[in-house]
Amino acid sequence: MNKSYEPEPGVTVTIEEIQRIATLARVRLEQGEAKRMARDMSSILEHMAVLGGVAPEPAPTSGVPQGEGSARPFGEASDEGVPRAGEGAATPDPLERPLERIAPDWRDGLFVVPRLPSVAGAPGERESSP
Amino acid sequence: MKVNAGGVAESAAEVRDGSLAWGSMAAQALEAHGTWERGAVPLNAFIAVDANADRQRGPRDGPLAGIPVAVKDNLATADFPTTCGSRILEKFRSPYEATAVRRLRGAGAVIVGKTNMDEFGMGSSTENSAFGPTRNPWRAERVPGGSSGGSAAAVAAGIVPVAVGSDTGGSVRQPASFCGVVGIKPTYGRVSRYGLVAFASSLDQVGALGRNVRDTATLLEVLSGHDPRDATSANRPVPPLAPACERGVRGLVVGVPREYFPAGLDPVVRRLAEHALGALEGAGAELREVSLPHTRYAIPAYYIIAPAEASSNLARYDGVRFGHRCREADTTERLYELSRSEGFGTEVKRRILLGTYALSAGYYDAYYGRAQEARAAVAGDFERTFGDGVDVLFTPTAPTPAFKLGERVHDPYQMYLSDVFTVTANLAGVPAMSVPIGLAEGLPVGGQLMAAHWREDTLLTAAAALEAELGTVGSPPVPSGAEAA
Repeated sequence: MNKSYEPEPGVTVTIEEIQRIATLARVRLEQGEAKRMARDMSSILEHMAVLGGVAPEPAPTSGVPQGEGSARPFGEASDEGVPRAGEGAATPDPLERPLERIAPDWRDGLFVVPRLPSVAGAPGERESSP
Repeated sequence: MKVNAGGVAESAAEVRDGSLAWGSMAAQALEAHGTWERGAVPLNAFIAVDANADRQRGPRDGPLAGIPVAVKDNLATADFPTTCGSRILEKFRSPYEATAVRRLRGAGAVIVGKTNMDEFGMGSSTENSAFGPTRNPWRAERVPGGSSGGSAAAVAAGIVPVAVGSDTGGSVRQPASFCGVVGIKPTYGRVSRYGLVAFASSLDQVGALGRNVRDTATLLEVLSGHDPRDATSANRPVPPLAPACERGVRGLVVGVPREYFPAGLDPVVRRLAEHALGALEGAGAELREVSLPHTRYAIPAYYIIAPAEASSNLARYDGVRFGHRCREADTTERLYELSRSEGFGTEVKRRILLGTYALSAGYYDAYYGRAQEARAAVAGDFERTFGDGVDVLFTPTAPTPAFKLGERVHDPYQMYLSDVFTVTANLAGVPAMSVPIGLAEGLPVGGQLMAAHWREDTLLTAAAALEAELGTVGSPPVPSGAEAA
């Protein structure tokens, strides 16, 4: 893309932007296709402006249910005896350990790794490289 | 012609006790499929069919013994291609099977074929399939909904009594509504996603479709349960679901969210929804008007989050590891670009670009960050409502009955609005289902029920009551020549 394109009336996403995004997404767009995409994207994004009115709340990172939902389950309880969400949360994360306890070799606050054969004996090399 | 005219549970029992031959229902399914494909306008519900399905073998002691089941083509199967309705996966055969498929086989089901769908689940009409659109069995010029349109059409046409779909923003419920069948999206984590080709991982969920509530419950129970191969699968017991269908709604508190009955709602849909609410009240339920004030953010949030996740999930289709490969590329970069450009359809490209845009530097906070905040707000609405003593919410499933083929393909946002009542359940991860509530000028209309996390049993209770009060919408007319088939 050497040429810059002016946005069409009412279009907020330019063809140049679309082509840049397409390159990032590894999708090749012909000129006519890029023009249509710019028009469609602009139209879609206009409707997204309403998101600016959302009052911030803690954002979930997935759809995984965080709680038990209904405070007053209707009918027979189907999940009695099932641990409640949050139970067991005190269990420590096994990965939460100091790095030196995970490292195969550790010196002066750095990982010690084996010397690469290709640089073995190179002048000025230390015995092992961090 | 209708395969397995009795209930699924009863027919499976007959297979188990030997009074019904193992392959007889699968043979009927194949015959019915042929009849619909020979009609003046082929239904095109299937991408692949096992012509020898009636000779498949499986355990005879399962809850689905001998029951013919159709599976959406985004669930990995070893004996069929798994295309996701996309040219890029046209010849792809999975080396392993989805957990949902393995559970079906373990229960004795006969998988008769893989059903048509919008490419990678991106669509609301099953028009975005590389294998051509599926028709609505009720009226061939109408869409069956999407993206699980093939599964819904196959059930509505009487080819199979139950089918498996997937629901990322309403892809089980909206086609169920358009085709006059029952469809349920369980709680996120209830059914394993292992082997479900990812579209938007935090929203995707495998779901069940059936011609009535009881059959759908039977299928859902088979599909549900913990799977260590899916990190988001919940390790919690699955209650027996059939008894929930018999419970009755006396004392059930049904919330009616005013945001789902806007002024512009199709008047026939409104009338049928209000009639259904009257039926629930007549059966002993208590109706309560409620508000889910952040509903208006749901469509914008969904159409940022889902494409953002899709742009990442679909990065793997590059012509090297999976699927279609361009033969004319002279560099690796061009191989990636050309393979993807040739393999993906327009809607998939549009969503990949939208997702890449929303995640790109300079726009991330304005779009993706805001969308995540909106998602939290939508989930908070549900939590507060169910915490205040509402057992189940009732809404229309879709704002209109099935629309005409081609009517919305040139206006993506109009198409996205088909999901306006369904995306909220995916954003919040709560279970939701659609149940037929009547006909509008010969086209089915569905009512949607939503409940708190893990309360599929409550959904089924309310749905069964609606079905008992309103009756079913019946079956679409079988194409001419069916009787001779």
